[in-house]
Amino acid sequence: MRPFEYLTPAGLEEALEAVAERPEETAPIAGGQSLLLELKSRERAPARLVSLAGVEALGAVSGGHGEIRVGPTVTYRAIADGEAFAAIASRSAVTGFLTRVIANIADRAVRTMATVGGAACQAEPAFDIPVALTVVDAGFEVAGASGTRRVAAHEFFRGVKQTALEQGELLSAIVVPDPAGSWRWGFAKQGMRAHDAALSSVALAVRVDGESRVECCRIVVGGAVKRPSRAYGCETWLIGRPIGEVEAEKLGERLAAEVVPELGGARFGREYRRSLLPALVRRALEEARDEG
Amino acid sequence: MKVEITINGRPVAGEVDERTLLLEFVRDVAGLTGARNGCLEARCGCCSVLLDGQVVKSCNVLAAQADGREVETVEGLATGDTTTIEDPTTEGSVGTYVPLSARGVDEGSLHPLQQAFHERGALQCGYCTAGMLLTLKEFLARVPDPTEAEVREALRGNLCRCTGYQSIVDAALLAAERMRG
Ligand SMILES: Cc1cc2nc3c(=O)[nH]c(=O)nc-3n(C[C@H](O)[C@H](O)[C@H](O)COP(=O)(O)OP(=O)(O)OC[C@H]3O[C@@H](n4cnc5c(N)ncnc54)[C@H](O)[C@@H]3O)c2cc1C
Ligand code: FES
Ligand code: FES
Repeated sequence: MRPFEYLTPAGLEEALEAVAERPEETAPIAGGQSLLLELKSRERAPARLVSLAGVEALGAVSGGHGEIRVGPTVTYRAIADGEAFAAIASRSAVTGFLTRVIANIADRAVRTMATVGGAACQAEPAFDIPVALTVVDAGFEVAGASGTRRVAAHEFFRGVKQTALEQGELLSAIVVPDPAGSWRWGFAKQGMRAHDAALSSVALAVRVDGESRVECCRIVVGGAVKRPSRAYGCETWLIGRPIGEVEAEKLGERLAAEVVPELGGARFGREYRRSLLPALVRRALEEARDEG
Repeated sequence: MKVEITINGRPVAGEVDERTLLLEFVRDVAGLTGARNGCLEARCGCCSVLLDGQVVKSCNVLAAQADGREVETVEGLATGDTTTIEDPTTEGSVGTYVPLSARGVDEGSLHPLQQAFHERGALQCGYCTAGMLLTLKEFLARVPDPTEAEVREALRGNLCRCTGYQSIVDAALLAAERMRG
């Protein structure tokens, strides 16, 4: 690690001032689970770290008016243990879905520290949070010197470790829609070992009508691609089909044909990552059918 | 910067470089060498300690992040006097089981997990053991009556290169049973 100064602002304004002061040399630190790896390897060497842990406003969760606001510094542990969403009556079961996804990220020790906002800002293709937040159609509130703006998920995630955040800005809230109607969700990933990040992942959201036909849906692929990517062709194919009778094999074949993998190394190449997609979408579909 | 962390109930203060990891603070400032560096990449779990009762990988947390908080390490598990065993690999004892009591350790003071690890042979080189114990302590407080599969899941982030895990899982289940009373 290169030397750095460690700042501990107590409020959002103070934190914004601290990051805006010398933005190119400053990195916010939430849980540090990704940032510290980059500091130790000297992949990054900011001269100042601004801790967000003491900023209460960034760790709040609230619900109502069809949406749930999740503070960026809410930890995976608080969500996995049911604390974070305890006071929120979600009408779409979206909190249950996010809880299932998050309880299965990395391991307990990482989940104690890791935050939802940290993972979103880190924007690694292999991470589960960008894919899950895209499938739930989350909005991202970005605070800067000139005020706050709202960015949609497909605009927030720009590429490998690239987001819509400008230097000196902070992610101040993640706004998860809590839609009326019968929504169902599923997520599946495949990594090398249980606590490894995904080589490929698939998330699925469907709304069904009174006869259990798919009215509206989103299918999002991660891992193999530079940023969470919608599979619009498969989505169109799903519309109108009774959810219980969707042929998972056919959906899998279509998804593998539609997605163009962009990432792959010598050991786990693009074609390997593509070959995982049919099984993953089948598992995501099964979860959506079973769990609602 | 000045960092003060309560470790196993004892406040430990130090003037440290900002870059100091919690693992380094625990080992070098507090002098407690039970937590180990096995990878420094948050992968192996050898450095696991409890931070305000929750398990963390101390190699991936800054001491500054733990400032003013409470840490528990493996040294905090046993109550009473646990005399350090001098030179545990002396030739004469190779292949011979010597009960801890014969080595001057009061077995009654061990944490049930430590006792179960000892009885089930859940360690060989012992490098991973401190991390295993603290991960399991936090887990059993949350899930007192786990299945074998749940124990294995809880140890997802703790690697052991020696035992093949079965004896660790067995020890965890034995300790859980005893802790339920
Ligand atoms: C061993 C290990 C295994 C893992 N396995 C998985 C896995 O299987 N799946 C998975 O999805 N993830 C995995 N992860 C990654 C984990 O999800 C992320 O490291 C974590 O969520 C990042 O959150 P953090 O709070 O620790 O972020 P930090 O490391 O604190 O920050 C990450 C980045 O975001 C910036 N940042 C943080 N908060 C803000 C903010 N509010 N505004 C602006 N910028 C901000 C920081 O400056 C930094 O650049 C793993 C991590 C480890 C260490
Ligand atoms: S040394 Fe911390 S996890 Fe390996
Ligand atoms: S006992 Fe040697 S690594 Fe586990």
